[in-house]
Amino acid sequence: MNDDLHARLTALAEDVTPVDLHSRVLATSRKLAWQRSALAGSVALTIVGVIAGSALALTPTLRAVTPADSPSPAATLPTPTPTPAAALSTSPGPTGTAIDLANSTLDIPAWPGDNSAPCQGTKTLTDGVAPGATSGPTRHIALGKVVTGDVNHDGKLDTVAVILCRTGQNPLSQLVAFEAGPSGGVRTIGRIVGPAPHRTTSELATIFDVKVTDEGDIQAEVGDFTGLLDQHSAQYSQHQFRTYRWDGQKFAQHAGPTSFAKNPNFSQLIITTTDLQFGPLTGGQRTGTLKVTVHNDGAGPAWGTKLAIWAPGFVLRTGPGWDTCTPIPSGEYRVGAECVIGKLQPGETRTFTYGFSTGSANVDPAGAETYVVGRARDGEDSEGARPGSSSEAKFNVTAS
Amino acid sequence: MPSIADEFDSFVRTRTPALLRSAYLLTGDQHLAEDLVQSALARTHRSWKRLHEVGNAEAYTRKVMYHLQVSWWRKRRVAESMPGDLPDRGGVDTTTATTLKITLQQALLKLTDKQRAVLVLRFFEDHTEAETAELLGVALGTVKSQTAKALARLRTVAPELALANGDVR
Repeated sequence: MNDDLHARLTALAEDVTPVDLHSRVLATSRKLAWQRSALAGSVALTIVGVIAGSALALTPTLRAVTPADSPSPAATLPTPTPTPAAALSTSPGPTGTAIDLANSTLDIPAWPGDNSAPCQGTKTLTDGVAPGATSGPTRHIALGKVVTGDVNHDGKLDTVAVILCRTGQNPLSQLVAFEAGPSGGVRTIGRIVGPAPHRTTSELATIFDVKVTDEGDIQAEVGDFTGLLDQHSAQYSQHQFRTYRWDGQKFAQHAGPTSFAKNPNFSQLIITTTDLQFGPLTGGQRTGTLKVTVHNDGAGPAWGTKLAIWAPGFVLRTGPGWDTCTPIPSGEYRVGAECVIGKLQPGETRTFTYGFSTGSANVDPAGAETYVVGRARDGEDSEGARPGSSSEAKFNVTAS
Repeated sequence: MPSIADEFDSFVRTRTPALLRSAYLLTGDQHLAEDLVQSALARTHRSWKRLHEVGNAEAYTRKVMYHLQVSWWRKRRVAESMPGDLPDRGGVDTTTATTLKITLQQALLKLTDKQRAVLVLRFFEDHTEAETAELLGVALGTVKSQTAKALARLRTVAPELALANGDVR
């Protein structure tokens, strides 16, 4: 982490003067309401709609405390296997009692791909929550489902919990086993499973549910997508049941699938382009074309696909290829256009040819960045619960 | 029991200072920051009943703020630079906090909107790369590349900030 930069940004941010915006906010809100009623359904509001859709997503992702054996956040999901969860009264069973993790000091294992201070190290939980960041957005430890069983086969009752790093957005989750420490505290046995360091749609991203069998195996229901709301994670994830077992040193996967196939709920745009190739100067003009290939490599449709094409300021857009495009306001150094492509089915590839002309003998873009960026939604509407996909390709400008 | 309107009033008054701080880093200007926060809060007000029920209005407001600031196709819009060059440093202790602050402010304005947004999300608000990508609606790889470019640009235009190379976390 770049601590210097954080400190300097914090110092700079303190320069802003606090003002009371309340009356201005209400005035703007009234104006928005009027615009919305007058322009309902217009393109101008599509962006707002995307964001408004996200509003539903921004709910707290987990209740603070989940007592052992209570319904999980994904309680409506099917039971992983017929194997019953370990019961506290199983006999003969492990000795000891369940730890009250919700009000304990816990040593939280490191989070793959996230080492921000509020979610790692020793944390004291009160009613299932540990204090988090003191500034900026929410980020703190929260306790998810808690179950018990003898998972390290030492004859004593262990406690297994879904630990969440609540971030205000997509929470991180890992499954951790704890046991009573020798001096009365709680000792961390180890992480059973956590999210992949860099989440992709093919890797484990979230943990929905957990059970411990009489044999001490840990059965986890996992998914490949973590949304802003638990219900979105459940709705758009591919659900798998994986079993983990203590091998004497650490927890390792014992059964179940180890990876996810492409998720049919998500698109994956891939944009490629040729160079913008101009022909010779003829009658004081050069003409050239740029071929852009748009491929949906995902298993889900790419809805509402759009391209933004940026070319140097000395060119003009010509030809029929631009029929679905509108200019993007830009300065004299760049020409920009947004082109509506529409829906691409999984695996579909389309190629578009865009024409340009210029009277310039020199076609060196002189530092102007020339590129195509594409963006698509994962759903038909602008729900905002799924991230959509984007891709970008740079191109050179050449002349013969 | 406070009404929903009262609660929005309270939300605006208690959270505006923090929102302004982020907006100030994004825009580099008091008035632009006020406008940005005002626009984001107005949209929050339109959805307040629902946000009030689900309980994370600030995250929503911040997301709106970033979306308003960084439209996807404007990703490389050149940020408006403040007039003038870096402050005259003749005879001045360039390590003073004030000088470094001005240097950082001017350097930030030399970044694109998106680069600035990525830096603020990653290093001021302490979001992970994945969260930053989600908030801005871009690919994880874009966040990584924009972060690297932004840090490199800062080092070029303001070497006196002596920023570390690494940003892995």
